[in-house]
Amino acid sequence: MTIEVGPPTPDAPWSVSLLAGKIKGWIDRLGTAWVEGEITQWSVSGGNVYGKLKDLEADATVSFSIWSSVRSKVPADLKQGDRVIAALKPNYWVKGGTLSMQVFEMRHVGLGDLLERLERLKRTLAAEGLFDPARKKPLPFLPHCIGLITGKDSDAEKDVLRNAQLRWPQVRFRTVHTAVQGDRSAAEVSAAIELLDADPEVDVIIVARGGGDFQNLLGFSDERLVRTAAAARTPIVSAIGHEADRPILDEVADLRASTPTDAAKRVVPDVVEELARVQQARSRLTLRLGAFVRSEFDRLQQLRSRPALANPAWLVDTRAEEVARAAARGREIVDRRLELAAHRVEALRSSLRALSPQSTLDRGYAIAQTADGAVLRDAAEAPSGSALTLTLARGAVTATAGERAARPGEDPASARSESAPAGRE
Amino acid sequence: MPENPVTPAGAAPLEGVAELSYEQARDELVRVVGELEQGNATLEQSLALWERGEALAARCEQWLLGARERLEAARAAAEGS
Repeated sequence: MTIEVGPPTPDAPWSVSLLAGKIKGWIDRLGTAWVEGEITQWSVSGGNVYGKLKDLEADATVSFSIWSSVRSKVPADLKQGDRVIAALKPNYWVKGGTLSMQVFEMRHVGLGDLLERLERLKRTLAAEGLFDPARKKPLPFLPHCIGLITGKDSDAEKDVLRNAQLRWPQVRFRTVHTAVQGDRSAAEVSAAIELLDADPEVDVIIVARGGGDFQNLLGFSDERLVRTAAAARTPIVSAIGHEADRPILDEVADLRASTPTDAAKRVVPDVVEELARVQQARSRLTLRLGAFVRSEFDRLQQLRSRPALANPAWLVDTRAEEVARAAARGREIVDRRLELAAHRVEALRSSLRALSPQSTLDRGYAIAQTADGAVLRDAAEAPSGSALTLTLARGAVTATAGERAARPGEDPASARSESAPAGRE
Repeated sequence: MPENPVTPAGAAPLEGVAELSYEQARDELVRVVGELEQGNATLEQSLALWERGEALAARCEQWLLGARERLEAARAAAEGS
C-alpha cells in the first residue's frame, strides 16, 4: 500500500523509511522474471547462498540470495562460472537499503542446451555458405606484416611470436591485445579483426588463444565474431585452444591451426629452410644436367668410334679388296682359258699338220689348181691354154696348160682318150 | 617434325644437318652408322652416307659443347652471385 504524501522537496523532505517504502513498492510490482546469466560469485553462509549473476555479454551484474528453504530445489553442483537460468524476484531490503534478487528456481544452462544452440547457429551459418571451402582465401607465402589478436602476455602470444621469429627473424607483427575469455572477448576480438582487416599492411591475421574449458572458448563461437571474421578480406588463421577444440571461428577461418605454435609455423615459412631447399634444388639441377650432357657425350664418342665412322677407309678397302679379288679371279680365268686355247690350238695344229699336204709337197709333189681354185686331177679338165696355179713345197707359181702329155710310164695313147678312168691315183 | 629419312645418295650429303635438333642429329647418326655397317649401299651411297655421318657427329658435338659451356657459365654465375 502506498501512503499519499506531498512531493519530497527541500522544505518537506521524505523520511528515509518513506523513501525506502516507496522503492520497495515499485520494485515489488516487478514480480518474478526468468533470467539467463553467469554466476560470478557463490558463497554459502548460514545455509543461505549469496552470489552475483552477470549478464552473458553486457556489463551488468546483480546479486542474488537463495534461502535455505529454496536451496533444496536448486541443483547442488552450482558453482562460480556456471551459466544458469533463474527465476528471480527483485527484493528491496528496507532495513539495509540494499536491493537483492531472491531466487526461487535456478537451473544449469546445460552444456547440452549450449551445444544445441551452437549447433543451430552452425547450421544457419553453414546454410548461408559461410563455411564453403571455396571461400577460403590462400595465405600469402611471405607475409609483410602479421596481425595477431591474443590475450596480453598470454602463452599463446609468446608461442606465436617466438616460433615466427625462429623461422624468419625479420618477421613483423601488429598485435592487438583483447580479452580472450568471458563475455567481452567476442566483442573485442571482432573489433580487433575489423581494425587489422582495414590495415593494408597486414596481409594475414592470427587469432590465437591457449587452451581453456568449453565455457572459456564460447566467445569464439559468438555469432557476431564469426560473421566479422567471415566478412574480413584479409585471410584469417584461427588458433584457439588445443587440437580438440573447434569453436565456430575455426569453420569460417581461412586456415585452422591446431595450436598457436602451429599457426606460427604455417603462416611464416622457415626462411632458412627455404633457402637451403632452393640451394639444394639448384645444385641438383646442375648435377642432373651435367650428367645428362656427359652421358650424351659418351654416346657420341661411342658412335664415332664405330669402325663405320672411325676409319672410313674400310669402305674403300673392302671394295678395293673385292675389286682386286674379282680382278684376280678374272685374270685367273682368262689365263686358264688362254692356256686351254693354246693347248687346243696346238692340238689342231698338229692334226692340221698331219692332214696338211705340206709333207707331200716336201716330197716333191705339187698341187695344180684351175683358175676357179678347183684342184686339177684330170688332164682333161685343163685344156691347153687354161691358167693354172701350181702350189709347190715352197711358194706357188702360175702356169698355162700346154698339150696333154703322158705321164712317165703311161701309154701315150690312153693319155689322149677323152674319158679319164675314175679313181686314178 | 617428320622423321628425317637418310638422305638419298644423290642429294648433297650435308644438306639440312645444321637445322637438325640434337636428338634428330643423334638418331640419324645411329641410322647412318647402321646402314654403313650393313654394307649393302653402293660405293657412291656409302661415301655420301659416311660424309653425312661425319657432319651429323660434328653437329651433335656442337650441341653438346654449347650445352656444356652454358652449364659452366650458369655454374660460374651461381658461384659468383
